[in-house]
Amino acid sequence: MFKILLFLMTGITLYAHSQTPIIYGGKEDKFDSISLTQTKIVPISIQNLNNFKQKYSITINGEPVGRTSFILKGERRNIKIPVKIQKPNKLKTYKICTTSIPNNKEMFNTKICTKAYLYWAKKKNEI
Amino acid sequence: MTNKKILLNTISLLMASSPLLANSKQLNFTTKIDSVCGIEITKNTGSIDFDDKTSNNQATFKVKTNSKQGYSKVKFSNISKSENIQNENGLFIINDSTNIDWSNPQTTNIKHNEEQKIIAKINKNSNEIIAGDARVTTTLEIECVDK
Repeated sequence: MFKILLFLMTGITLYAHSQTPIIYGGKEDKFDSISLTQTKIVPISIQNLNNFKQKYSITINGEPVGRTSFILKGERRNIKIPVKIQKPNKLKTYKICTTSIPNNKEMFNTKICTKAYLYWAKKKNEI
Repeated sequence: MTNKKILLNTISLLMASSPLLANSKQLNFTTKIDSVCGIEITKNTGSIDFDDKTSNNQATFKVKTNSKQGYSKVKFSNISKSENIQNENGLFIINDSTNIDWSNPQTTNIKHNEEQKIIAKINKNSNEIIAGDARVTTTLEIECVDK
């Protein structure tokens, strides 16, 4: 009986995570790429599709920049990520990723990334 | 007389409506659908198989994408092993066909919404492994294709 119950309990556990957009700026949305300041705010939206609350860590090009508070079951959260563009007047690519922070001894955690193409437009006399 | 009236009415209606037709504007309704990339792990635990010890305890996951291509790239990263298998190499085997080597994990393409079954495998007999809980964890990194 215990085994059956355990099976049912693990059977309904669902681990899922989604993120949008996958690409920000670039050829399709050139205006989104352009920034007049060095820091560009990139909006991403993540959804916790687990049947339990979960936290996510956020990285930009592999560097940790923060973590979310608990995102509730089914909740979609819009997050504004400030990205510092390294060089002016050059198209740069940044990989903004969210990774689920495991709660227990789970075999997997999940990571999804948004590729942001950013261009810091700076007048020559400002450089 | 009646025919003449009908003809005159038709002509006047056409004349009245022609400028309207000439200046008609189309209504366009557009919405940009952003690409969404997701993963659903339907079973988050599985067993490690050895040469002498196999189980049917597989972990399973599905990739969710609304991209035109209908698939995503999946990368196994941050592979972490328990102390007793720290020096062992192993594999993740997807659907009994694709091998992901722990020491050099390659990206693999996974179709939207198709269940993937994974087992972990160490090519050694279990009695060659130091006693204790052997455990491996990994990050499933999804890279949706959007071109």
